[in-house]
Amino acid sequence: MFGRYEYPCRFDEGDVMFCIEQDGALYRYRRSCGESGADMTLTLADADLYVHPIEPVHLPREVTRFLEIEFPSVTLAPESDTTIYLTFPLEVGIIMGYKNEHELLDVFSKATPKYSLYGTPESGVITRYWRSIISDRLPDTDNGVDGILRLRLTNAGKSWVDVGRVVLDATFMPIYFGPFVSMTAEMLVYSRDLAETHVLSEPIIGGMQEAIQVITSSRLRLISAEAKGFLMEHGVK
Amino acid sequence: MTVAVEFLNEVVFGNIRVADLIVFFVIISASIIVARIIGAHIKKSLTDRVKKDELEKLIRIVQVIIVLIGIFIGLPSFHVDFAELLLIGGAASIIIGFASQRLVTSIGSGVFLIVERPVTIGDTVKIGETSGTIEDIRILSTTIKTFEGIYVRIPNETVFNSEITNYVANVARRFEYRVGIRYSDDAEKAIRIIRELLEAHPFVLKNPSPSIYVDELGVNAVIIMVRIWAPSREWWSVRTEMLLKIKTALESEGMTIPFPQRTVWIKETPGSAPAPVLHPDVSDKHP
Repeated sequence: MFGRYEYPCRFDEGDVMFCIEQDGALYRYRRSCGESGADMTLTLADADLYVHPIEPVHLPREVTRFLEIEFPSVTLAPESDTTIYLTFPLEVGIIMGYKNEHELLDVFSKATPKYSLYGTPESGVITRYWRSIISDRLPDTDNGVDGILRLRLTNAGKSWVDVGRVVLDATFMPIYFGPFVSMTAEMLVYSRDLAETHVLSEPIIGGMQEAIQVITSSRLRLISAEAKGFLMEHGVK
Repeated sequence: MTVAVEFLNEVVFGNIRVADLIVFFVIISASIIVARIIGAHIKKSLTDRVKKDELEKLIRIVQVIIVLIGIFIGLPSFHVDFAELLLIGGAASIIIGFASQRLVTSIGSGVFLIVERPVTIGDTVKIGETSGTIEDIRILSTTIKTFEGIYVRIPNETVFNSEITNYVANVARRFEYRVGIRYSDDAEKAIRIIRELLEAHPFVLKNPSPSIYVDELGVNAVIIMVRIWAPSREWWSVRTEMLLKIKTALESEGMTIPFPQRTVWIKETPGSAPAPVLHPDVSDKHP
């Protein structure tokens, strides 16, 4: 599904269909995914058409830039580290590219969106919520529903800690696609109440292609969000 | 040299010499330079917080005050009698002060609102008796678009002294429904149906999780309390959407919202005439 498309084009697989048809000097974009759909008229000129996995915080409306993944908790020994594999929800972006400018045309997903609150109403953040399985190896995923997150967990503290959730900032969220969709992140746990997370520019396997970062490319190009990460101040379980 | 001294001592007007004029203009020039430097600093620090035109007004006010101070410092070179000036200035200040009391209070309140930021543009708020969305915060006034789409301008003094309720200051908020079902309906099943509906809605927050329980055994109905947390900026759409969905889902399972009703027991005593049987009047039926 993912990649660069020449238009007119058509993709039809399972319950996902999208197409761009020429209508005189104009183009017509149509899309259906489950019960949702889109229909719009475009003047494409020489724009490029990309279908990429994008940061999963756009549906049904963009209300946050944080992704929270809850998983069966892992107990970390003091000053130890481990790598686990989780899943994250997929959102598919139809993106128009023209002279290095990218515009998100449409978003759809087969994953059911759900939101949550990490922390308190006063000082917490709204998050896109996802419940994941946990695995020590690459789990099986459905390329239209979920991707694989490789999470490196490091317990920097001197006590045992149970970790059962991770919150990632979508401001810098490189997602890669190939045989599956993937993302890599690290989580430095300082205590049961405090941790720091960063999404890394690392594909899980070689040969994967980096997807266009819609949020970064459209709004925050000048901010170094990679270094910023997210500080989880309201607990890790 | 002598020529220069003579020039400086040359009387221009009354007892004002050229030297006095030079000293005065140096002080004024210095105050203008200081005013510009401070203006630039204000611009740098408040650009993100204050609208451009408002910021320019604020800078202009500060700069005028600095230049007035410069004039006040430079005036002795003109041999001005300060006692007289203070008397006139004092009297003028009192008059101006009384005349512009509310204006100055509003400006002060506006500055506090900009710095303290209890509300920001786009927030849904209630200020005093006015509810709506903040459209603009200016130095003198705050404008609100009410939910009816009416433009309301509130002086900042009033905003500052009023009770302010900001509905979106916290990222999430809770709301509740009281859903009544008949005594003959299965309350556990109703709770299960409502819970499934809430779980399926994206903006009904996973955490804090919704709370659904039988709250009251009412006169006409079993009251089920439904408490929901939603993102503050989405809560109204969730609230309006979910109530209809709950009603529809319960009705599709044969549960109806009961009407007020009363069971009347008529006691028949031996030997008395039987109570008349009441039949509904068909003419009262609606078409």
